[in-house]
Amino acid sequence: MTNGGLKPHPSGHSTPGLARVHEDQDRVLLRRMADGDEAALAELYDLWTERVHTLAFWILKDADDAEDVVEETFWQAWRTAGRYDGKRGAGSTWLMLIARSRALDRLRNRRRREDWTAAPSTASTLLDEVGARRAEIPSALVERTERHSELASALGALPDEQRVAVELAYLEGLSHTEIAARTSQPLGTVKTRIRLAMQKLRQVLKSLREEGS
Amino acid sequence: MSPTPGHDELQEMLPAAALQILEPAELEQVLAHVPSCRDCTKLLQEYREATAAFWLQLSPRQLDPARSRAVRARLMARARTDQSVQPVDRDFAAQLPSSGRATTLIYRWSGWMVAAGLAGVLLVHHSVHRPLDHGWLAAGVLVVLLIGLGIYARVQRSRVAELEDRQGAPAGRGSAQPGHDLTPA
Repeated sequence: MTNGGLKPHPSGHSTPGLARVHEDQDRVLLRRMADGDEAALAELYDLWTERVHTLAFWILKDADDAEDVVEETFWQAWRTAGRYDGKRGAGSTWLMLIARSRALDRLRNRRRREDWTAAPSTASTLLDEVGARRAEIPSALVERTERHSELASALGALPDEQRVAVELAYLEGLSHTEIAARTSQPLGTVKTRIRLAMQKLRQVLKSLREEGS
Repeated sequence: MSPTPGHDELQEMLPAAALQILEPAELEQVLAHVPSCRDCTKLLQEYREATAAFWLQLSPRQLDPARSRAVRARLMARARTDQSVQPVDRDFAAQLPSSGRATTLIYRWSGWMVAAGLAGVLLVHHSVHRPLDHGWLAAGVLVVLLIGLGIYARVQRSRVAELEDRQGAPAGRGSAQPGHDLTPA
């Protein structure tokens, strides 16, 4: 699998130091957007569109909806760039959280129309779904550079039950209670699984960040 | 869950808060605590970064290049239109129920001004040439039509505003503005 002709920056950082440079680049772009610089919006779009689309697609599993979310995400970034505070995190974090929020809003609206609760998934079906989303990861890892590979490896190393719980929360926006119902697990177990998984990911990110500073 | 969870309990809610999957009552408790706790503020930010990085495990899906170009072109066109709003106002304008373009006010009323002018011309014309028959009738029909159109436009506008409002409003699960819902200013 190729990285789809991505610009070098979002697809990976060769060194943690370089990652920081790229984070600074995102911050500068967002600051320029806040000042009304359209060219900065174009640059941000070119850098991040595939990542935003990837996330939107896996949440919505519909190409048209994902395309709409891409547009909504960058438009919201343009309109609210002035509110972005660089001290509170990377521009990419901000942008990807916008994308996830927009995609989940759309997913929840769709569910309200479709009465999604009529067809609960079994645990094995859920594991299959996770596998489908991750099917191409090994080859992707080969092409990704150190920092992202480490993080992706940490995600891959999570026990299946933790990964399923986090994925249901992340990609479907389900609450603890809803995840418990979908996986037929006690509520407390679901909460613990999500907490443990997130703690691991936070630790990996933190150590990567410390290496870079 | 107890009505007033302690610090440790609240800290355990932070991963779910970052994932935006807390129930409204839980979210309220976290929001009440985090701004006053430096440790939780930092932790929440770190969890938010972990959440945002989750896409790394997803298999890439490229947007069709032609469609990507079309989206880019639409965005740039919208941004150019948006430039009529002063940068300092754009942030405020983004919070308005409708998108809040600077030109909206003029745009909103220009059609009515043209229609009113046409109605006036018709009225004068028919009053001069046919004082007692079709003039008043035509003007009356026009006025009724304009009122009907106005009501229809207002209903549509309020529906759009409601939808945009719902889309942009901070909420417990998923629809919050990143960086402004759970992280203190």
